[in-house]
This record gives sequence, C-alpha cells and structure tokens, in this order.
Amino acid sequence: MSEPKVILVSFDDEKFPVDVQVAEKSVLIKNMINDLNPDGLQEDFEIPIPMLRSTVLAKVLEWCEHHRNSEFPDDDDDDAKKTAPIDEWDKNFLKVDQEMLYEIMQAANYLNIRQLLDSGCKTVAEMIKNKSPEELRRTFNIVNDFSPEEEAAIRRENEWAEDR
Amino acid sequence: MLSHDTFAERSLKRHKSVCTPPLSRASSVKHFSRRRDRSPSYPLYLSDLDVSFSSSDLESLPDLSDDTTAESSPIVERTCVLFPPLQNYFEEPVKTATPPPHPSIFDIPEIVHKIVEFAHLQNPVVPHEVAPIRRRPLSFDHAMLIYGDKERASKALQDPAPPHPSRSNILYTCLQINRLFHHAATEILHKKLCFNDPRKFHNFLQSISPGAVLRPTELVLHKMFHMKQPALDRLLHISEFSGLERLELFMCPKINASPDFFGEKLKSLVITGSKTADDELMQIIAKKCPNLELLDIRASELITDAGIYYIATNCKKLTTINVGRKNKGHLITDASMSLLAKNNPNLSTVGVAGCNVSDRFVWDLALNCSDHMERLSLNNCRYISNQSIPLILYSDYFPQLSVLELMNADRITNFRPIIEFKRRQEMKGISMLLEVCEPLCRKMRQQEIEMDRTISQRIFKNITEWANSENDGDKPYRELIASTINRS
Repeated sequence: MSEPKVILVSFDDEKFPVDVQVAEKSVLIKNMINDLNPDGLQEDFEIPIPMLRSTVLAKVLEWCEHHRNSEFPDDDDDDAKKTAPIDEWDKNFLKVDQEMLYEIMQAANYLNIRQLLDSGCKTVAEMIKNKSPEELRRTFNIVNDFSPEEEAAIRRENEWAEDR
Repeated sequence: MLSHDTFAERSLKRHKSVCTPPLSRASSVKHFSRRRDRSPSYPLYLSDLDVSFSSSDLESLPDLSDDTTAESSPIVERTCVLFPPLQNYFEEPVKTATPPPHPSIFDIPEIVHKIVEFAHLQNPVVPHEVAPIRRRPLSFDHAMLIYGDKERASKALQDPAPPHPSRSNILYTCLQINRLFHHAATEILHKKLCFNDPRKFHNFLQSISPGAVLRPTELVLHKMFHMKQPALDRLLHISEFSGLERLELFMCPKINASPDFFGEKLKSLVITGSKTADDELMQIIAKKCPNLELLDIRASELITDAGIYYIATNCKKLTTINVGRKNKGHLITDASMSLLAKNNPNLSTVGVAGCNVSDRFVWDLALNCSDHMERLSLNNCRYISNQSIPLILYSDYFPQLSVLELMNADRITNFRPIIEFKRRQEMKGISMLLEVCEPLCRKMRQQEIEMDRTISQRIFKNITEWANSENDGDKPYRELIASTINRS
C-alpha cells in the first residue's frame, strides 16, 4: 500500500494531495497531524484550509515541495542567517505581483512556515530602500496614523537617527 | 514619545483578538470596516466581504462556539478558528467569490518587525574602517616593485578615495510610516547603538523617555576623539548591558570602558587607541567574558603581557586577536601570546604587528592553530627569523593562509619557501596576499627570479636529454617504415 497522503482543501474546494513530509513543512499542519493521529497516519488525512485560495495554496505547496529535503537551522537569533541573502530559488519563486506575495506571506504566517515567511519579508524589505515614508505608505497601502504634530515630533526627537 | 509596549505584548493582543473563539462579532465587523477605510484599493474580495457584512448576514458566519472539539486541546482550539466547519461554507452563498479576509501583512506586528529588521540588516550602517585590498606602498620604488608600471604605481600611492558615506536611513524612514513601523524601528534603534558624532549621541540621550531602560545588544562608538566620560555615564545610567554581544570603542581615547559592559554574551570587543584600557580591565574582561571570539586592542598601549595572560587563561573561543601597536611593543611577548595560541585553537586572524614576539610564538601558532589560520600580521616583528615562517611554510602548516604580512621583519632572508608556499596556495585556488616592505620585496623578487631561472634551466635540460637520447621511446625510423609496409 502506498503511503497515506495529506489532502489539503482550499477555500474554493480544490483538493491538494501531498506527501506528509511536504505538508509538515507547515508547523501548524505538522502539529495537527501529530495531535490528531498519535499513532501515525494510517490513511489519507483531509485538512480544510478555508483561509487560502487555491492559487495561493498551490504556490505555498510548490515551495514546500521544492524544500521537502531542505534542512533549516532552528536557531532563531542567528544574525548571520538573518543577513543571508534570499535563497536564489525563493527569490524567483516570489517574483509575483504584490497581492500574491502578500497572500503567500499571510499563508506562511498562518501555517507557520518560518523560512517562507522570512523569504517573503526579505523580499518586501528590499522594496523599502530609497523610498520616502509617503512613498512607502503608497506602495504598501499603509494608512498614516500619526497627526502632523506627531510626525514633526518624531522627526525632531529622532534627528540623531537620520542616517540609520 | 509614543507608547512602548513590547512586541510580545502586541502580538499577544493580536493573538487574542484573532484566535479566541468565539470571535467577538461586533469587534470583527468594526475591524473589517476599519480595514476598508484604510485601504480603499485593497484586493477586490474585501469589498465583496463588506457586502456580506453590511447586509448583517452575520448568521452565515460559522458558529464556532458549537464546535465540540473546541475545548479539547489548545491546538484544536486554534485550528477551529483557522478551519471553521466546512458545511457552513457549503451553505454560504458567496462562497465561490473570495476566502475570508486576512489582516494586511502590514498590520501584523511580527511581520512588520521582521520586515524592518531585514531591511535594516540589508543596509548596514555601522561605521567601520573599510579594509583596503592591500596596504599602500611605502614609497614610489616600493609601488613600482609591486605594480610594475608607473601609472599604476603612482595611482596606488594616492590617498584612497574616501568611502561613500552610507546614508541608507532605512530605520529613520520606517520611524515615520505609522505607529507600528515606528515601534519596530525604535526597538532596533535602541538595541543597536552606534554613533560617530557626539552631538547625535547627546540628542539620542535626550530622546529617551525618563524611566525607560535600554537593553542594547550592540554598542559602537566610532572615532569620537573628544567624547568625554560623563556622556557615556549617562548611557550607563539608563541601560542594562547583560545582553551586549558587541562592544566597539574605536579610537575613543578618553572613554573608560565600564565593567558594566562586560557579560557572558559578549562575543566581539574592540577597544582601539585607548589611553585608559589597561591590564586591570583585561582581567575583568577575562573573568566576565569567557565567550569572547574577537578581541581587538590595537594601539591600546597600556596593556601588557599580564593583561593578555589573563585573557589567554580564561578565553578559549577566540577566533580573532589583534594586539598590534606602534609603540611599547616590548610589553607584548611570547610569555602571554604563546599561551593564548595554545588555548585558542580556532584562531584564524592574528595581529601582533610591532610586538616583541619571537619564532617561538609563530611555532606555537603553527602547532596549535594551523588548520584555521587565514590572516597573520607580523609587521615590524623584528625577532621573527628564518627559524619560523620559512620553515613553517616549507612544512605546509597553515593550509588556509591567505594573508601574510611581513613588513620590516628584516631578519627573514630565506624567501624561497615563502614563494613556493604562495604558489602552492594559488594552485589550491587560494590567492595569497603577501605584504612586505621595499627592501624585503627586492630580496624576494631577486630570489624569485633565481628560482625561476633554476626551474627553467632544469626543464630545458630534461627536454634536451630526452630529445637527444638514443632511446627516446619512439621506434627507430627503419622499423616504423617496415611495419607500415607489412601492414599494407
């Protein structure tokens, strides 16, 4: 008999059967599988993920499939890892429109796939360079919740950080 | 100042509001409509969603409190929010349109924090001296020896172009975007303190709200020649340094490094050009910082063998040590440096320029730290002789060596093993930089030319012998003709 699969069901009802190893790139799904099947997976296991559109889920699973054998260090606070450039494959993988990129990052956040989230955050971080606060608000659709007085105060109080 | 609750607290709040079943409906409606106001151009599905909510069709929301598994375990409790019972979705008329709404990634504190931190790390602004590719030649003749032609030689003698001032101001920009970004950027700014301007340091101290405690992981003061102790004392007063991993007092001669700076987390310590750092300070550091990996005390000339000896006894994880100095080289000798080499087998960068170390120290390095050694500076070490470096390189110690500095190490006369070693390194793909002063460079060139002459003579001799010998491996002409005739 072949190995039991994990079947992920997207919001729009599309079914994605994947190997356990691939699904377990998501810590959330991994914990679910382990908690609900303490004796190991005996048969196919269906998990609905109504937070995700099928296109997004397909992308996330493409990433999981590619990294099925990748070893990621657990060390959370390693500055060397944080400064490491984005994995070349991830970089190309994330060359999508902004909306898709954000949805992938949200998905990575919900499903708890840290390395995918990190790659996404690094991609967004690269967009920050050489832009004014106003340009960034426009680019990222962020609402300015400062009053003009507060903004002036921030510039005044943080003059020392101008070149950071 | 803006509020300063930590990220942990914020994320906890978010966690509660998103994950605690059943969702408070009133608040979720408010939440979504607020999002609509904020981002009018946000993906279409949000507006669809507004329709479903504004028609007060709230009954179609999955009723989470009915889920019997909700109480069983925290994991399931969480999943039931993420994965509401499917049948509710089957009943929902707008199902095919769009999935439930997500908060924008720019509203999620953890993600914003990550983005800001990565953006900051991608554009480092910590002031530092850019290491030159190689040292400036000492004279025009020296430059000619190194570069060969006049143009390149005179170019190498010019002052190097000043490095581009790094004005990335990523964090400063992030401070002004909105509250969440402000919070994330402030947290990083208060963790990594680096200054090269006393006025800005003063303004920074002014900006800290009373009662706040800073917990920096990095403190870098760069070339603040005139900064006085009281300014630093104020920082000490409002900070807690047990988390400090990196301390750099680069050419700040008038500043005392307080014992409060030093703790177990400290890995990288630079105190250069200090007129106050002494053996007593080294003793404190040795005791409190067993995990030190980098120690750079160049030109802090009060430090002697005694101070280094404390370090050598207590610190076993050093990868980089630099005690180079212009004056008072007699205060640093084999007595401390040999022990340091023995206790720190992972050393890869060693600078003892101008110190009175001898061949014994270099041999101790070779015997204890051979595998990792990459950069070794013995400039102005006048006690280094043919008994160490030439012999050591001949014996193939230091297989990773890529920088070797021997300026004014004028007791070395035997360069052949050094040249051969350099060529072996290049065969291995390690392009090795060898810095020597003009007289040594001349001697080395001469020996190199002689060496090449001997080698080419030997090659020529071998070829001549082979070509002229009776039995050169070919068949005699007659036999060759005969065999071709027979074959046809």
